[in-house]
Amino acid sequence: MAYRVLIVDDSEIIRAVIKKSLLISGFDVGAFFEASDGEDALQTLKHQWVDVVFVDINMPKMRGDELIAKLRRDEVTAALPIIVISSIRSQAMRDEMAKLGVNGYIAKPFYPEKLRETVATALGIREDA
Amino acid sequence: MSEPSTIDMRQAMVQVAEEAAYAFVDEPRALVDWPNEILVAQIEVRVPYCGELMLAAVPAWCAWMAASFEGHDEPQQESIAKRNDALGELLNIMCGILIGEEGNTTPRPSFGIPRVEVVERRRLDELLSIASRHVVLEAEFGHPIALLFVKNEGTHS
Repeated sequence: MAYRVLIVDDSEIIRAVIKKSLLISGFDVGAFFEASDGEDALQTLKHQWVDVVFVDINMPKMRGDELIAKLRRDEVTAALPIIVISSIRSQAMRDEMAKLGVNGYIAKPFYPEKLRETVATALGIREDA
Repeated sequence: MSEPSTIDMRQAMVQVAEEAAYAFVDEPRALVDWPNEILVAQIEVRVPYCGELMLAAVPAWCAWMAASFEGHDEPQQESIAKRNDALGELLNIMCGILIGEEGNTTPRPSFGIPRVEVVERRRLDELLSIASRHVVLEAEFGHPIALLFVKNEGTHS
């Protein structure tokens, strides 16, 4: 199955790093979509269905935690797998994101292996399959 | 604690350079000579510190970082935006590492979004003179990079 991926980060460089890391880790990507903040992501999701969303927390206009809360309240996106990729490493933030119902949390900097492992868990992909 | 230690600042610089951009940084082998044009990224930290964390580097090194982030061996025809983005993101990750050890209790850590600007050398000299902590390291090709912490007014003990 080829997955449709939305990457939400205000840094163009980091969006490129996430795309490259997914590709070199062998993750089967059907389509990439990008958004530079929460508002931009909501606009994208009005027109595109995706299988997984990667979300930064610190962003202008609409922060990642606000975006996640909105997605969880919307019945269409309530169960959409969401993985946070953030420079904030604290347990307090991880706990807060877990309460919002995210499916994975990756601290920057990260290796492609960590990305693949987290996305496989979030999407229920068996790594030995 | 109201400010990061220089040991932690140095460790954050080394870790982020190596793990995020596959770059090597170390103590300068000679007196650091900054060029006249320097890029400075700046992040406001509110919790657990209160001040401005800044990362200064020469534009050529930032162009290398932008290329390295994207998996290229050499700088491409990088835009100024990408060069600035790379420096801001390096600082963002360093900031996360620095407060990572401090932020395991509530209130949760809080810091802003990086802003990047070109400054003259004399401005960097001013910033270095008012910084309560700073670390200067040397990257590839002898390019200096500096991480500074400037306390907000009213927070000096």
